[in-house]
Amino acid sequence: MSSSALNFLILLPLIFSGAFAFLFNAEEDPARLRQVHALATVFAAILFLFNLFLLFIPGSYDTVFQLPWFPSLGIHYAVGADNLSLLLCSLTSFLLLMAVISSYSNIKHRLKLYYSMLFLLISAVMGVFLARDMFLFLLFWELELIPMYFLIAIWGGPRRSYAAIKFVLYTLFGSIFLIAAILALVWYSSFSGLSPDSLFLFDSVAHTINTGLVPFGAQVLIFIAFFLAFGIKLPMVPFHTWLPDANVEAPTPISMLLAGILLKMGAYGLIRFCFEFLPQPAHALVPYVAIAAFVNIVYTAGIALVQEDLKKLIAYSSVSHMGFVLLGLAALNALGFSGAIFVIVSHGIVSAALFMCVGMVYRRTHTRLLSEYGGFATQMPTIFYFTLLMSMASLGLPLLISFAGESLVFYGAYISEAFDSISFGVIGQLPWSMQTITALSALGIIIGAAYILLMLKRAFFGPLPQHWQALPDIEKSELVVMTSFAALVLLFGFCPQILNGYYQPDVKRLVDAYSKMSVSDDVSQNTQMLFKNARLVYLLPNANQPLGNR
Amino acid sequence: MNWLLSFIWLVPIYPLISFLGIVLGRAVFSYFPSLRSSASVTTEMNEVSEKAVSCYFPKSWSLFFTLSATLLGLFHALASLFWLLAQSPTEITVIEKNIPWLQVADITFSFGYLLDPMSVMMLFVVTFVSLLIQIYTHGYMHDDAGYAKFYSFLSLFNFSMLGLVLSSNLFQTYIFWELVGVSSYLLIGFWFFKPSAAAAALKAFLMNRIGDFGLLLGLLSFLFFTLSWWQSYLLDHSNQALLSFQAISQSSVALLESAGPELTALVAILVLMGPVAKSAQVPLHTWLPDAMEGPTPISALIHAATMVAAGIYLVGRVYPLFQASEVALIVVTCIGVLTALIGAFIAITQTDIKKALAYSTMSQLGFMMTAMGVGAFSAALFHLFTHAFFKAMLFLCSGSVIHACDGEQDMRKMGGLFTKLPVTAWTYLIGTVAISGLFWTSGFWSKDEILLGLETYASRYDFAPVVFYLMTFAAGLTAFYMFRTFFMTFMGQYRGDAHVHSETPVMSWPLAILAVPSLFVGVALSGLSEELPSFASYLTPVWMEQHHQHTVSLFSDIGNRSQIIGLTGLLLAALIYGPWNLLSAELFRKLLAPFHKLSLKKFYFDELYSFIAAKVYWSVATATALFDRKGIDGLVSFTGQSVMFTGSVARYLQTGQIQLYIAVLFFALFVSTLFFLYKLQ
Repeated sequence: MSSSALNFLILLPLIFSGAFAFLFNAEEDPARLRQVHALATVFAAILFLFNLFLLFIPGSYDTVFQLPWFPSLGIHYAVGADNLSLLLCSLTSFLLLMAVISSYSNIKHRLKLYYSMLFLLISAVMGVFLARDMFLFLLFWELELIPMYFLIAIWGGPRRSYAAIKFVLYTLFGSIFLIAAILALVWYSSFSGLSPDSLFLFDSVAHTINTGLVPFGAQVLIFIAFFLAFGIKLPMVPFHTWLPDANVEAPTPISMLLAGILLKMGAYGLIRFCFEFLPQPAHALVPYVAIAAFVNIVYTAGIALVQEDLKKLIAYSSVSHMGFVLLGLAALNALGFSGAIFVIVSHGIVSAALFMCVGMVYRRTHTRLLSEYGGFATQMPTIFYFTLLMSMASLGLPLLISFAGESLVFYGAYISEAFDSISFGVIGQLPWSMQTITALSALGIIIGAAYILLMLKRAFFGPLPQHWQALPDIEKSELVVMTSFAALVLLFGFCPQILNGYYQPDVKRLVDAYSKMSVSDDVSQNTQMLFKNARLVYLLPNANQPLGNR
Repeated sequence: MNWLLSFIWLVPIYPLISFLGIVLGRAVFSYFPSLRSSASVTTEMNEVSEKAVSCYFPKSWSLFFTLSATLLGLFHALASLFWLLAQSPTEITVIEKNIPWLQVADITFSFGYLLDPMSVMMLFVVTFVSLLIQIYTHGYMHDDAGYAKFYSFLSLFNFSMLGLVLSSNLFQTYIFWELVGVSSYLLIGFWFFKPSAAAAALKAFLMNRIGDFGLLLGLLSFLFFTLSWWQSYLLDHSNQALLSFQAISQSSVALLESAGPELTALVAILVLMGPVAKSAQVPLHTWLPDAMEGPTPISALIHAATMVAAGIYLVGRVYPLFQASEVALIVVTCIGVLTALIGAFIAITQTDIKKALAYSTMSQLGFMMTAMGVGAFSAALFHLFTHAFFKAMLFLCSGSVIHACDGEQDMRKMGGLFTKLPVTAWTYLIGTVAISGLFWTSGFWSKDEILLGLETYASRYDFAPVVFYLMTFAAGLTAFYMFRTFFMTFMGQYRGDAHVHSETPVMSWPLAILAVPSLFVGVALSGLSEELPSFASYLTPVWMEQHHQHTVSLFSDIGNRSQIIGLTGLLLAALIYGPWNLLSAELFRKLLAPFHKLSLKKFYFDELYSFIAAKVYWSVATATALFDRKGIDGLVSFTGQSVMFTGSVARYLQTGQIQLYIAVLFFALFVSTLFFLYKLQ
C-alpha cells in the first residue's frame, strides 16, 4: 500500500461528518435516534476496519504523499505515517468506535450535529497524526478545537460553557507558541538552499536542523515554544487546570476521547517536534523535562487523592499518568522512548475505560460525589468488576496494560545517564541526577495506588446506602465497550511485545539522533551555555553554513 | 516423569485456566440464564440478593476446576522433587528456561522458570497446602453466596504464587510479587460489604505497595550498577535472563565492585523493603492482623503458609546480595528480632483467636528473617517449611472453631470446646506444641536450627549474644501465648451463647492430614535418619553454602534448653489460663500495666501511621488541591478576567464619535512631533 491510502483516514471521517450534517433532517423521534446511532456505529466501524487494514498490510507509508497547496509560500498538503503515527491513528479509530457505542446510552438529543462534530473531530485528530507539513499540522491542530468546543458546550454538564471556553482559549494560548516556533523553523529553512516551495515540509525542517543551520540558542527557544504548546495539551503542570474542568463537564464519550486521544496529541507533538527534530536542545533541557515529569506525577496524584468528585479524580489521575510520558522522554534512551510511547497507548485505553466506568455510575446515580456513593459492588457487580479491572490497570498492576509501559519508563529513566545535576543559571545547581528524580517519581506508584484504592473503597465497598436500592447493572452497549477495553487491557498486558515491537523502528530512529551526539557533548556544559548565550545575535542563522538563495 | 518436568511451566497456568474458566463461566451463566437449568443448578435461597444469583455458577464446577488445577500442580511438584532427590546432592543440575517477554534494543525482560531445590521445596509446600485448604474451603464457604467467586480468587492466587515460586529472575518475581498482593487484596476484601474488610484490604495493598516501591527501586539500582556486567554475562549464558537468580551471586560481586559497600548496602536494604512488607516485618507489619478480616481459609493459605513466607523466600533467592553487605545483614537481623519480639508480645493480649494467630505468624516470620540475617539460610527456609504446615493447620482449626461457633472469634466467648470438637482440638494441640518447639515435633527441629545458627552468630559481634537471648526469650513467649489460646479456646467451661455445631468431615480431614507433617516432617528432615537427606544438605546446592556439620541428636544442649524454656511458657499459660485457675491473669495485668497497655495498643503503630497518612499527608494533599484550584487555576482565571476587565474599560474609548478620534489623532501627532524635535536637538 502506498501512503496515498492514508488520505482516507482523514477523508473518511470528514465525509461521514458531512453526511451527518447534510443528509438528514433534524427530526428527533426515538426510532430515528436509534438509526442515527446505528449509522454512526457503521461509519466508525468502517474507519476502524480500514485502519486495522492499514496496520496489518505492510506499506511504504513513510514516503510522504504530497500535493502542492500554496507553492508560493512553500506549503503542501503532505501526509505520511511512521509506525508511531499509524499506531496513534489506530488508537483514535478504536476509541472513536468505543465512544460511538457508548453514545447510545449517553447522548439523547441533537444527534445529527453531535455525530457531525464527532467525526469532524476525528478527522482533525487523524490529520494531526498524519500531517507531514508544518502548516497542515497547525491547521489540523487548530481545527480540532472547533468540534471539541461544541461537543463540550452543547452536550456537557452544568458548567459546560465555562469549561469549553477555557479549553479552547487555553489551547489557543499554546498555539501562539506553536505558530511562533513553526514560523521560526521555516524562516531558518529558507536559508537552507532547499527549494522555496517546500519550506513547510517536515523533511525540509529536519534537514535544516540537521545541517546545523539553526544556532543552538534558537533551537532552545524553539524547543521551549514547542514544549509549551504541547505541554498545555499534554497537560503539564502548571498548565493543566483546563483538563479537570473540560473532562468533568464533557459527556462520557467525549471525556473518553479527550483523555484517550486529545492528550496524546500533546504527547505526539512532544515526541515528533521536541525530541525528534530538536535533539540538541532536548539533550540540554532534559533535566527540566524530568522535573516537570516528577511534578506532574506526584503533585497531581496528591490532588487526585483528596478529590470528592469521581470524574475529577480520574481527570487528575490522567494528568499524573501523562507525567510518565515526560519521564520516559527525559531518559533519552531506547527503554525510555519505548516506555513513553507504550504509556501513551496504554493510558489512552485505560483512561478512556475509566471515564466510561465513571459515566456508567453517573448515569445511574446522577451524582459524582464519592461521599454519596458506597456499596455499589453488590448492586452493580458487572460494572464493579470492570471498574476493578481498569483501576488495577491504572495503578500499574502487572500483566495488565499499563505495567509494561511504566516499567519501561522506570527502567529507562533509571539507567539513563542523561544528566547528573541540574543547573538553574545564577541561582545555582541542584545535585539531582536522573536517578534521584526517577526514584522520587516512583512515589507516584504509592500515591497512585492510594487514590485508586480509596476510590474503589468509597464507591463500591462497604454497606449500600438506603437511597441506592434499585441500581440497574450494565447494559448491552456498555458491556460491548467494556469488554473490548478489557480484552485489550489483558492482551497487551500479557503480551506487551506485540505493541512494543511495533514501534521499535521509530524508537531506534529517535535514539540514533541522540547517540550521534558526541559523548563529550557534556550536558551541564550545554546547560550553562544556555544561560550565558541568551543574546539575540546568537539566533541568526549560522554564518558558516551555506546561505542559499537569501 | 520427564514430561512432567519439561511441562513445569504449566504449573501456574493450570490455576490461571481455572480462574478464567470460573470467571468466564460466571459471565456466561449470568447472561444466558437458560443454561442454568441444563447444568442442574439448585439455587440456594440464602443468596445476598437477586444480583448475586444472576452471577451463579455451579459449585461443583468451580470446585472441580480449582482442585484439579492444584492437584496437577502437586503432581508436577512431586515429580520435580523426586527428580532432585535422585541426583547426588553435591552436583545438582538445575533447570532454567526463559522466553523473552519485553524487548527493547539490547535489553530483554524474560519470563521463565528455575527449578532448583529451593523452588521445588516451595512448589511442594504451596501446592500441598493449597490443595488441603481448597478442600477445607468447600466446607467453610459452602453457604456463602460468593462460593464460585471465592474459588476463582483462590485460583488467581495460586497462579500468582506459583509464578512467583518458579520465577527465574527478579523482574518476573516483581510481576508475580504484585499479583499475589492483588490476590490478597481481593480475598481480604472478599466480604467487601463489611467496612472493616474493605479498610483492611486497602491497608494491605497500600502497605505492600510501599514495600514494592522499595523493591522496585532496589531492582532499578541493582540493574543500574550492573547493567554492563549483565550484558556481557548474558552473551555467554544465553539460557539465562536479565536479573536471573542463578547469577545473583556473581552479579552481587559486580555490584560491590562498581557501587562500593555503602551503595551495595543501600541496594540490599531497598530490595529488603519488599520482603519486609510482604512478610509483615516491622515497621510494615500492621496490615497482617487486619488482613484477618478475610475468610479463614485465606488467612491460613495466604496470610500464614504461603504468601507471607514469600518475603523470606525472596531474601533466600537473592541471599548473595545481602551477603555482599555486612550492614544489610545486620539490618535484616534487627528487623527480624524486632518483629519476632513485637509480634510475640502483642499476641499475648489478643482476644480474637485469628488476630492472636496472625501476630504469632508475624513473630515466626521474624524468626525466619533473623535466621536469614545471622547466616542460617537453610534454617530459615526449614522453619518456613515446617511453619507452613502447622500454621496452616492452626488457622484451619481456628476456622473450624469459628464455623462451629457461628462466626464468633472472641476467645473469651469460647472455652470447653475440646469435647465438642475433638479433631479440631487435637490438631490445634499438635499445632501448638509444634509452634512452641516442644517434644520433637517439626517446629522443634526447625527452631532448633535457628537457635543453633544464633549461637554460632553470637561469637561474631559484640551485640550478637543479645540477639541469641532475645530470640530464646521470644521462643518462650511463643509457647506461652500459643498455649494461652489453646486453654482459652478448648479447656474450661464454654462461655459463649452460640450453639456449637459439630465438625464436618470435609473440614476435619484436611486438619488430620496436616497434622502428620506438623508432627513428623521435622524429625524426618533433621538429619537423624539415614535414608532422607537433612533439610540443610538438601538446600546446600542453592548457594553452595558451607553448612556447618553438627551432630544431630534428640538431646542436644540447645534443644534441651529450648524445650525447658518452652515448657516454662506452657506451665505459665496453664497456671494462668488453664482450667484450674491457679493464677489470676488480672494480677499480672496490674503488675505489668505499662507493658500490658503497650501490647494491647500494638505499640501504637496504627496510630502513628494513620496520623501520618490521614492527618499529615492528607492535609498536605488538601492544601495542594486548594493551591491548584485557587492558586494556579486562580491565576488562569485572573488572566482571563483581567483581559475582560481591560476590554470593558477600553471599550469606552470606542465612542463612535469621529471628532474624538480626530482629536486623539492630532494630540498624538502633536506629542510625537514635540518628542522628535527634542530628539533632533
